Amino acid sequence: MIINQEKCTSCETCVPYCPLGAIEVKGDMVDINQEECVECGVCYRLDLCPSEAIEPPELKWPRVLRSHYSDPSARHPDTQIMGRGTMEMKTNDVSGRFCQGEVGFGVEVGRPNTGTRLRDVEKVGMAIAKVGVQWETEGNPTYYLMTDPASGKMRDDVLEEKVLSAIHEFKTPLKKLKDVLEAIEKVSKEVDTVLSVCIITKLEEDGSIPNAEKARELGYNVAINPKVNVGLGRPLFDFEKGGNV
Amino acid sequence: MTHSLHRQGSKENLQDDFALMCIPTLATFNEAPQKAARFLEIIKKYCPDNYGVISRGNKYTHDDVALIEALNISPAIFCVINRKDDLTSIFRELKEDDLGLSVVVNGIYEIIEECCQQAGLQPHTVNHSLGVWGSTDKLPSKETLEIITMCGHGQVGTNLVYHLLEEIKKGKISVREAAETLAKPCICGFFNTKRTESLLKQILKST
Repeated sequence: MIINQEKCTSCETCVPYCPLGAIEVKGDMVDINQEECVECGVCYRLDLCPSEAIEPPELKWPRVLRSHYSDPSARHPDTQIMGRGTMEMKTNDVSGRFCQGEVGFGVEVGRPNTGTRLRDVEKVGMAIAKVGVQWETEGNPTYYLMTDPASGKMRDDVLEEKVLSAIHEFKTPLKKLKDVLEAIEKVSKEVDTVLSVCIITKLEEDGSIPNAEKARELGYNVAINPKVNVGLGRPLFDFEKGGNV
Repeated sequence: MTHSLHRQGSKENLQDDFALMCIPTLATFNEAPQKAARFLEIIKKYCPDNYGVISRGNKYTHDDVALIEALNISPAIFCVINRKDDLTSIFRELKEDDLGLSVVVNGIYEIIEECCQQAGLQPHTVNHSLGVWGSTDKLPSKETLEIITMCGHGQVGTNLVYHLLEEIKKGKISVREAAETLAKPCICGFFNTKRTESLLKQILKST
C-alpha cells in the first residue's frame, strides 16, 4: 500500500491497524515502510482514511507475492484458492487426502503476526525435504515457488519478499512423525521468525487419534482445541477400498 | 488454510469458543453458493457471535445482502458460536439437511465430541496445533496472543489491541465497541467478540 502524501492529513487513524506496524509516523508525516509492508490490505479494505489517502499500487512480480500470502481475499493465480494454504483436512471427508496410518502436517512460517521473508520459508522447507515427505502438490502456493521439491529449494527472485505467513503442507507415514518434528524443531532455532505447527489425523474406527497420541508420547504440547471435520461431507473418495467413489 | 486453528487460550476461556465453517471442495464449487446460503440460514437461528465470507467481510463490516452476494465468489461461510448446546442443535439440523458439504469446527475436543455424539455424528479427521516454535521472543504477551490468534489470517495486530485498551482507559470507547472494532479486520468472520470482551476486561483488571 502507499499513502498519497498530497491527500494525507497525518491524522494517524490508520497507524494502529497495520498488523505488522509498517505504518510509521515520521515528524509530521505518516508513511508506509515499503520494506515491511506485506500488502495485506487491512488499512485499505477497512476504509479507515477520512481523506482516502491510502491507495493500492499496481503490484508487480515478485512484490505481488506479498499480497498473495498476506491478503486473505486475494486469490492465488496458481491455485485459484483464497488464503495461504489448501483445504487440507477441512474437506478430507470428501477428498480422502489423508488416510489412516498417515500424518498430515502444516508448518506455517511467520504465524502468528510476526511475518517472514520467503528466505526463511525456504530454509524450513529444505529442512523438511531432507526427511523425505510427500508435499501437497495441488493447491498449495508455497509448493509452486519450489524449483526443486526434492531439496525444498525455492526460486531465487522471491526470497527477499516479506509476507504475513506461508505454509508448507505435506504428509508422511506415521512412523516418520518423530523425524519430521525433530527436523522442524531444529530449523525453528535457525530462522528469524516463528512457526505454527500442526498435525492432521484421520480418526480410527474406534475414535482414537493415534497421531496426536504419538506426538504427546514424544513430549510435544498437543493443544486441547483442535479443528474437527465432523464427517458431513458427501465422499468422492472410498476410504475402505481407496480411490474415487 | 489452517486459519481456525492455533487459537490460544485456557480450558476456561475456550469453553464457549467454537469456530464453525461449511466448505465445498473444488469439485463441488458449482452447487456451493446455494448450500452455503442455506448454512447461513441455519446458523442465524442460533445468534452467531460473528459470521463472514472471505471475499467480502464479516457481520461487523457488511450486511447479509452483501455477504450472500459474495458467496458467488467464495462459496463458504465461517462463523463463531458461543454455546455448546447451539452447536449440537446446528449439527442436528445440518445432518437432517444433508447439504453434502464438509463441516468443520474448532474448539475443545471433548466438548465437540460430546456435541457430535448427541447429534449422531462421528468426527472424521482432526487437526491439532503443536504450538508456536522458533523466535517466540518476537511474540506479544500471552493475553494479547489469546486475542489476536482468533484471526488466523493475521489481520488483527497487537498494536490495535494496545491502542484500543488505551482508548477504553481514556473513556473514549466501551469494551464492547473495542471488541467489535477488533473483529472488523478479521475478514472471514472467525473473530469471537464475546470472548474478546471478556479477555479485554481481564487485561484491564490486571493493569
